[in-house]
Amino acid sequence: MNGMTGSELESLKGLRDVEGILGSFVLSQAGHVVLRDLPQMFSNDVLADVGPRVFRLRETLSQDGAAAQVVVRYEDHKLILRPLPESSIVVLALHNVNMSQLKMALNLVGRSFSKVDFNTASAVQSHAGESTNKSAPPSARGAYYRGQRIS
Amino acid sequence: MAIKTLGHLPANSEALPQESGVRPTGFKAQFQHATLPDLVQMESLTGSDRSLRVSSGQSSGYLMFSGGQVVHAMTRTLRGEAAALEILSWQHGSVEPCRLQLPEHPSITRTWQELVLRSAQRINEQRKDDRPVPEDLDDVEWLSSGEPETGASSERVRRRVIRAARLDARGQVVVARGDGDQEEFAELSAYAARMTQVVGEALGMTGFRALEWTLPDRNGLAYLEENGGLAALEALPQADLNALRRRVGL
Repeated sequence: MNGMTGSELESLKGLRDVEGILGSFVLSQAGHVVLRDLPQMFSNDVLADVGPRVFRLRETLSQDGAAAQVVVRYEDHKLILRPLPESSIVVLALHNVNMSQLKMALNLVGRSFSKVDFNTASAVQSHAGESTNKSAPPSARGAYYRGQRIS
Repeated sequence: MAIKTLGHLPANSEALPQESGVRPTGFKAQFQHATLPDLVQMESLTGSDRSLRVSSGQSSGYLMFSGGQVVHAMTRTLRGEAAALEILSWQHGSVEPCRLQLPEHPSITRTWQELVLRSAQRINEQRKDDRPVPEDLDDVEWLSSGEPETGASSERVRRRVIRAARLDARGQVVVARGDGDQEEFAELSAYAARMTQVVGEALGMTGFRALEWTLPDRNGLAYLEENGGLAALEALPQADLNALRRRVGL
């Protein structure tokens, strides 16, 4: 099991190639958000609050040691949780996202994450000056790694 | 249901080797909406002593008559009554007479009427078994009844729906049935649904509608009902949940 190298974020960003994907993040086994590729409007504070809850959702629905894959349908959006042995990938998408394409993309990303130890990574931190303006233009969207904006 | 048949041909019909110098008699016919039980009945009532080759898709089999009774049947994998019932369950295909040596001892002792009746019962049961999960949870008889029934019908449903529950808008369990701790399942579903609502609100994704989860041995679905209540079920992976999804607008 290896620590994060930085290439994980590139893998995560690859999910955006599927039409309708708004962004994604990775949860450690403790439920901390350790990697994110989300528009800036999703602050790290929000993710710090959401992460453990999503992780509890995974734990609630899992049975006999088997982790549940979860799809939540909202009016206009979907939240997809793909469990991995040592982590979870959480994807936010529009309601009409192509689930077959997303499933395939998640398989690939999940495979590339299979030997990464996300549990030694620190949770993403609140980012000073981070915009919470939900109408931020796409160009203002950024990707974060360990709390630092890197794109 | 359409059976294409070359039935009621005499033994020297074109489906069989022609006997030289003998002019074929009888009619060549096609019955577009005949069922195999119909054809068995026709053969039986005429006291048939011949064999029929039945083809349906990639499957084929033989029904052999003696004195109007079906005395032997075979498919690629089955013999006797099991083969006859299998053949009689086929819904479309073609039938033609053929020459086969009757076995020394009949492998089917039931009358043709009993065979047709058993076949009809079997088809009926297969249809029930293949039906998707009921579109409304109320359709699950053991869900709305006081105790799970022990009859065959209930067993078929239970084989696919593992457990189900319905809660009212206040979160009170209205009904919970199935395997394991049903109350716990109801509460678990309510908790998970509430969790997704909280997560959604935090992320700006409002209007929770449904939650689906997939495990190696089961699939789960929980959805908000029009009255604000929550319905949830877990079913075996082979259960077709699409009818239910459509009904609730997912």
